[in-house]
Amino acid sequence: MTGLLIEARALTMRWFWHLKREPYNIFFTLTQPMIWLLLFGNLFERAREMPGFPSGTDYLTFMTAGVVVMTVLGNGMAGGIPLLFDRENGFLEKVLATPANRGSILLGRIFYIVAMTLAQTLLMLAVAYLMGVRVRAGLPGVGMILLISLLFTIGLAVVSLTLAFSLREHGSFFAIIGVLSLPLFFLSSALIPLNLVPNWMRAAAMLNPMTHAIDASRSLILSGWDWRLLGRAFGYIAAFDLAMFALCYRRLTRPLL
Amino acid sequence: MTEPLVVVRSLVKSFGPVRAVDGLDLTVFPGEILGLLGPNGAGKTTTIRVLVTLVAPDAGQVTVAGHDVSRSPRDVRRAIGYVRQEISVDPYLSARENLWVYGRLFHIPGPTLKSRIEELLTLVELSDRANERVRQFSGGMKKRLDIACGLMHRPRLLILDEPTLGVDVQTRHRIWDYVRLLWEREGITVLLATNYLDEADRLSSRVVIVDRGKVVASGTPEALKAEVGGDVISVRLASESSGEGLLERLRAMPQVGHAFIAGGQIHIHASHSEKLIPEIMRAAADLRVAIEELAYRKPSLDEVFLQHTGRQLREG
Ligand SMILES: Nc1ncnc2c1ncn2[C@@H]1O[C@H](COP(=O)(O)OP(=O)(O)OP(=O)(O)O)[C@@H](O)[C@H]1O
Ligand SMILES: [Mg+2]
Repeated sequence: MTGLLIEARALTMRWFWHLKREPYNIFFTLTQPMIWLLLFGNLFERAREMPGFPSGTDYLTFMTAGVVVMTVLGNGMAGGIPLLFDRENGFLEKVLATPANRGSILLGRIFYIVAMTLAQTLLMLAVAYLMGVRVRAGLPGVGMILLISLLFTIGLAVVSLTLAFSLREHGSFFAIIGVLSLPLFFLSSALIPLNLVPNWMRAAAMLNPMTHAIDASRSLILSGWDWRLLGRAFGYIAAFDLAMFALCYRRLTRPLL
Repeated sequence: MTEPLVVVRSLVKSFGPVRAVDGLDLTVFPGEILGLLGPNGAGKTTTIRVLVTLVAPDAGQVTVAGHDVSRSPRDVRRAIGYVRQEISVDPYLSARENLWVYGRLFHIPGPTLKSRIEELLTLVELSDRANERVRQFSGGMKKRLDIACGLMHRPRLLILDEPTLGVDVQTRHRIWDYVRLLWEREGITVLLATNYLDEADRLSSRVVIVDRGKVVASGTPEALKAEVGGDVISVRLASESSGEGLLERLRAMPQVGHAFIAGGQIHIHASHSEKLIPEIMRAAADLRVAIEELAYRKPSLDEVFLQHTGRQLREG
């Protein structure tokens, strides 16, 4: 176990060293969520005039949780991309020829993605704060939003990594990631409250862990602590994470090359 | 005799219809530099990939340092330093970072790792470029870094898969020097796959020649070349079609050990070439075939390969 952690830590360092040499990547990783906030906040500003929209809320405040979780989705789903390159340039094979546990490849990447996601989430909440959004549940609420992001991003990263381990062609990888991401995003409560969408969509959205991540985060921002919503979110996300880990474990026990 | 470090028995590995390795036997003893010599597609890389546990064998037994590759792959990997045929450094890291990450995968503790990295950078002459991003390195520099990675954990066995493929002459000689140095200083055992004759000849203490997934000959370079017998004369005729007649005449001569046509030339193995050459000229004149080129030299591993397979290792 400690061996696995030593290896995973080394591979996590490797990703941070990559980032260090990619100033554009840092810049866009950090600015992209702010752009989402600005765009969505203004684009749908009049959505709150719709009947059924939580009263007394401006759209930006409503949207903040959606943008946070959407960024988590994007981060997690893109998490496997560098592994496609590792397979191509032989680095993966080189690692597989060392005594290192292959789980360290997965874990090293997850550590990095989690760190990036937490930094982005925090930054987004800070920017939203400057734009007037207040988290009703206060600083502990911010901590809780971070925890939700962290747990959700792990499952998403595992999906992406499993796909990267399984698909040789970059084209197929991006196609599948696209096909998976769209329904996850649109069949969720990211953009509008679910009481404003058709029944079938609401039913589908309720099965989507993303919806629960958003609803829990949103309630922390709009109204404070709602333990029922939080409990449901953790339940769904934990189930999602475990299921994805099981899939990935199966993949890792078979040949990777 | 000492316990062998690598034992391969009747190894078979197919990829779909392609039998990459077809009943190969190989033994590597501690302290030797074993040259695995063979043409493109002979199955060298596949054999190595089985040895380093990246590919599972279809049949046969493979043990490295006493560990079976299928049953205890981790122990096998711990014993081996593997340098792939293709460059496989991380281009986004510096040379030093590459070595650090690789060393940590072997759990080398911090202070030891630090000094080991400096030692290896010095060995492969990259100390002054150690903090540069590897992407801007030349091919030869990347290769040297790859070799340094392979040496990181002081493996008992270093496996080099065509270490000088695609590098310039200067780098090739440097790489040969590193291998010799390690062998002399640390007594490391080396398994070297190559399709360069001179590399196998100059570097190996023993050569195993493989072709089409099988071993066709093995021995020290000297012994293999001695087996060819005497000198090698090759004759290129103005028109290839008339070669058969001359070949027959040559085969009848008592000094000729072995004569055959390959690659558009007649090859003759003979004990006393200085006496034979005038006779070849005379026979050609009798038969009215024009000789375009006649060359004579001491046998190289090329002749050894030719003798065992009827083909040249390299065309042209
Ligand atoms: N992963 C693979 N999938 C399909 N065929 C393969 C694979 N690896 C090797 N082969 C085939 O197996 C045969 C032996 O290949 P191998 O790479 O072992 O040869 P080699 O002796 O290393 O050649 P070279 O000198 O060109 O490196 C070739 O015909 C090759 O096409
Ligand atoms: Mg090869």
